[in-house]
Amino acid sequence: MFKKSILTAAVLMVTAVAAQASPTHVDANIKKYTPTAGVAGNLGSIGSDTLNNLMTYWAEGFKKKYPNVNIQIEGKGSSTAPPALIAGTAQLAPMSREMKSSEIEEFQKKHGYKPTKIGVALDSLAVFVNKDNHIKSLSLDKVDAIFSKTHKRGGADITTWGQLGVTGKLAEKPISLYGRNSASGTYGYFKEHAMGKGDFKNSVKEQPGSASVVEGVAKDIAAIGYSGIGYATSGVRAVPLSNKEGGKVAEATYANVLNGSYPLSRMLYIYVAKKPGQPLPKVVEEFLRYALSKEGQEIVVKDGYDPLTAKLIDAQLKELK
Amino acid sequence: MKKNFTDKSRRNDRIAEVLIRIGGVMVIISVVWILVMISQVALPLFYPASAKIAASVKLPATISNSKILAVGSGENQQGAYVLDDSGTFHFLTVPDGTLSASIKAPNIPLGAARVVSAEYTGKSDYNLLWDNGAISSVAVEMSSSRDAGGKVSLSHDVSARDELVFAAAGTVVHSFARLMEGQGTVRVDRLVGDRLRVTHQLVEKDFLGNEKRSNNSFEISDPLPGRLSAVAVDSKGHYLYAGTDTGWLLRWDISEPDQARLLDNIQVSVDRQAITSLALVLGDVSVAVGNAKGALSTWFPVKLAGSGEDRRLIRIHTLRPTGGQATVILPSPRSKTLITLDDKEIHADHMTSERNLLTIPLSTPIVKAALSPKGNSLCALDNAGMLKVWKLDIPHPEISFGTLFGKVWYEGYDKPEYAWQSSAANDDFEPKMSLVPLMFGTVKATLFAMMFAVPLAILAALYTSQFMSPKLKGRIKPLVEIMAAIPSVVIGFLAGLWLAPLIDKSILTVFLSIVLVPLLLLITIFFWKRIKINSLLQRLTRGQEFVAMIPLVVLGCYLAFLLSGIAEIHLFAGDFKQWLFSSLGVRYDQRNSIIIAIALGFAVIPIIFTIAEDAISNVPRNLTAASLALGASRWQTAWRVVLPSALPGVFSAVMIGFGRAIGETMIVLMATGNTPILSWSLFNGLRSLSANIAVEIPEAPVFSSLYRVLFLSAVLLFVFTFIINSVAEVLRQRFRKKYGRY
Repeated sequence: MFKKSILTAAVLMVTAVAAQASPTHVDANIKKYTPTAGVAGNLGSIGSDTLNNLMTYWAEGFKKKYPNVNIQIEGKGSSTAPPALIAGTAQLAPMSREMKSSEIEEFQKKHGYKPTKIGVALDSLAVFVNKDNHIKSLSLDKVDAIFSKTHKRGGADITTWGQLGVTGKLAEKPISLYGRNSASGTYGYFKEHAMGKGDFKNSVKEQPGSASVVEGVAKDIAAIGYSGIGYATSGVRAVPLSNKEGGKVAEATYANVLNGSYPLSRMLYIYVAKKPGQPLPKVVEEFLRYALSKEGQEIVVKDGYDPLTAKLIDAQLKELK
Repeated sequence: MKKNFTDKSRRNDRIAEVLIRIGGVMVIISVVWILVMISQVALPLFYPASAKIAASVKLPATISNSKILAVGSGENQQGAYVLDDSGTFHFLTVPDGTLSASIKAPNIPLGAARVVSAEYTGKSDYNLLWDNGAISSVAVEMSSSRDAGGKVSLSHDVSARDELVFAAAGTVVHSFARLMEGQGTVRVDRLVGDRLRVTHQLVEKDFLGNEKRSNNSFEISDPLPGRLSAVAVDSKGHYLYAGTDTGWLLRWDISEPDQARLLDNIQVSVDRQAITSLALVLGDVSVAVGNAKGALSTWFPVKLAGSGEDRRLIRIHTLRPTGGQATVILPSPRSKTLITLDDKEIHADHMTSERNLLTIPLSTPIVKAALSPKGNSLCALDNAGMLKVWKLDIPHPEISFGTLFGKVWYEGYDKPEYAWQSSAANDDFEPKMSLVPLMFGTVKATLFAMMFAVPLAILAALYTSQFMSPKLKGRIKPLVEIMAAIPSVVIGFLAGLWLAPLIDKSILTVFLSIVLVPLLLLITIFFWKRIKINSLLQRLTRGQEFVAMIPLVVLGCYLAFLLSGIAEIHLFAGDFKQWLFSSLGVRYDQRNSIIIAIALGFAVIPIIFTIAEDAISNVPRNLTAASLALGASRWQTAWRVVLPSALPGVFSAVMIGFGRAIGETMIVLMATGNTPILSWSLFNGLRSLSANIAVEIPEAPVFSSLYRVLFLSAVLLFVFTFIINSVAEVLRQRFRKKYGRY
């Protein structure tokens, strides 16, 4: 019995990976990475847990190019990034949200200049439901009514699936809420954009990782949860979203993210401490160039996120100079 | 030789005694030291705020002769500036008061000569209203940099903000100008004769990037109950607030370009005092109202029964009255702190904690005042032309005993609540840090876990030591002890991802088996003698009877499984959880307290079992022998003689288990949803103090309020365990006196 369930789990994983292979392609105009000489040393990265997988993949690829580079990656949440960058315990600070002005000020107080923000990938935050839940779409107004206790977007409280127009057995069931813990950028982003800076209900089950949110939703038929779309498995389904009730509904696809019709997409960043007028340490700069190269962006696609366009990449590379 | 030996052993005894004493004292010292260290981090939460005067300079006569419209200061109290009615910013270095630069506003509108009023909109931005009714907007920048030699040099600049410009519009007394996100701009003008005019400049973009601009202006037609005495507009230009000299507060929705909808029209105070100042608290939800008698209150819209979709303004917080007429309210740009000025004093109060943070007495009345962009410096000009700069140090204004342990009515909430919600990605978020739900969560998790673990562990210990064959006991005991070696992360992980969905599916089976299994056992025991004679069971030696239980337990669970299906269909309309929700209103959450009780109990059982078993086994044989010799049965001996004599040991076993359960982090973190709910229901989750520390400490900026509150909760946890252990020790001593005399 146990063996069998392992087997089915393995099969499920394979199909999940297969299902994830999205038709997104990396912009052909993005240049390939050209290695340079003299890149060696230690590289530390502390920050976003959403970016953790991506950082690990990039680090792997980067180390293949430069075997003498030693990279350490820690991903406990975006809020851990600024303190690490300020204290100098990490040279790379991956964040799934922009730094708050208070964090920038803290940085400035210590270093005398502002941290540099490099966009490295696009991420669409998805609202997941169990795969057996057939709800067609949701508006962010409704999402707010489900998750929030302050209802900043206006709307009345929603507690059962029936109130969302779901029929059948599920209709009577109370909605079971899953979310990220407060250290994550995902939590902050969702709070700000989906809930109009409102507060979460007390009954939102805070999970320490994006994968456990998805896992929780997959195991709970009446569940709804949010996390990065990259974590989708076959047990869950991302609900197409619209911003306002009655507005245009968009699926979480690359085209919709780029044209701005998908309401919950964001840029993922790596912050670095770059003194104005001076180049970054070579290792750091080359790492960022690698992440922004064709190879780097292919890894982005492989990990389930959306790549930047050539135009966006050029803008980021300018920041490095 | 013999004497030598005893001497030696006595010496060894003494050395051992000293060593043990030192060890003991070291333990006490280190425990106290840990407590002191944690408390040291938590203590600054309760430090009082302070204000130090950093500079007091006389304005040069050339400046003070003109009309001063605004003042401001930099973050580190090294520079200040004043704005006169010609639209010139004069920068002064403080504390020496030399004029370092005078910069004229860069974008003076056509035909404008003098500035009528200047509106500070935060972040050193000013909207200047000119005498022809035009508005221009400027950003003041002051920065200090340190060169290699450590010398500080100041630089300043005044730049134009072109996105916020309005053309001439006749005579205006006072005006507000706002950017409306993605829609254009809006201005609200106070005209002569208590009239209010709203003008929207809309910008619409089509797909080709062409802009279409339209202007829309109207006057508010609602009659005012009294004369206009104060006006405020929120930072997005959505709501307009007005106060009258008869104490009425009005609020309009002006987000639509062609109309103003009157949402509220309420009397603020019973004594109908004039509203003298209005200001929006950081976050744009609450409005602070100060009146002629110095009463200060904050209001925000709340959904009320019968008001439909709209929310109505309600008085939420009443702050300490100032005494004099509240002339100016300055909201802090970093917290919900309000600085109120009257003729005699400057007050700093925090809205949510209702704490009066500071009172600065004044010798001369203040004419103009402003906070720096980060809120740590206050600049004020008095009527004698003295410019004063205070350095404000308000470390943790939002923390008070009331906010930590009491119900608080937070902004946007419908009623006062105990809430824990500590962070967000935006700066104007107000952290909610009530420790009550967390303490409740800790107590709830511990109690449920103990309810599950204590009977099982103690009865198991009693059986193992008194009834089981020694050979088996030799195997079972280490096995249970191995249970204690399983890392709690693993238990938590399994509980959260494997046990929770399993119990979710078979909750009724679990409940039924709790009843059915013991019932089945009791029935079997009743017939035990008759069954035993006629069966293989006779071969079971003494101490191995429990083997016969295994099929019974399995059978009981199976029966429960069968029955639950039937019961669910006939008693609970096919779905027990649904029935709970629709008939009793109880929500079943997958990550609930049952899971916690089992998982945490699983972690605690081996500890209680081992210590209790040791205590029970250590009861002298002669006691049991005497009891048995007097004709008592084995059970009577175990229950009436052995257990009471071992009670002190068993009790400490329970208490050590209790201590472990209170502090346990990973299991609670992973198996619950970390939901800060205040409810005793078995079917929902909880958030414990320890799990909360683990979840939040990585993101807490060092020495921020959250960081210190987390340390405070660590102190609480420490005190919790300390009290429990002390009580346990006292009780144990009592028990020992009572039962341990054999």
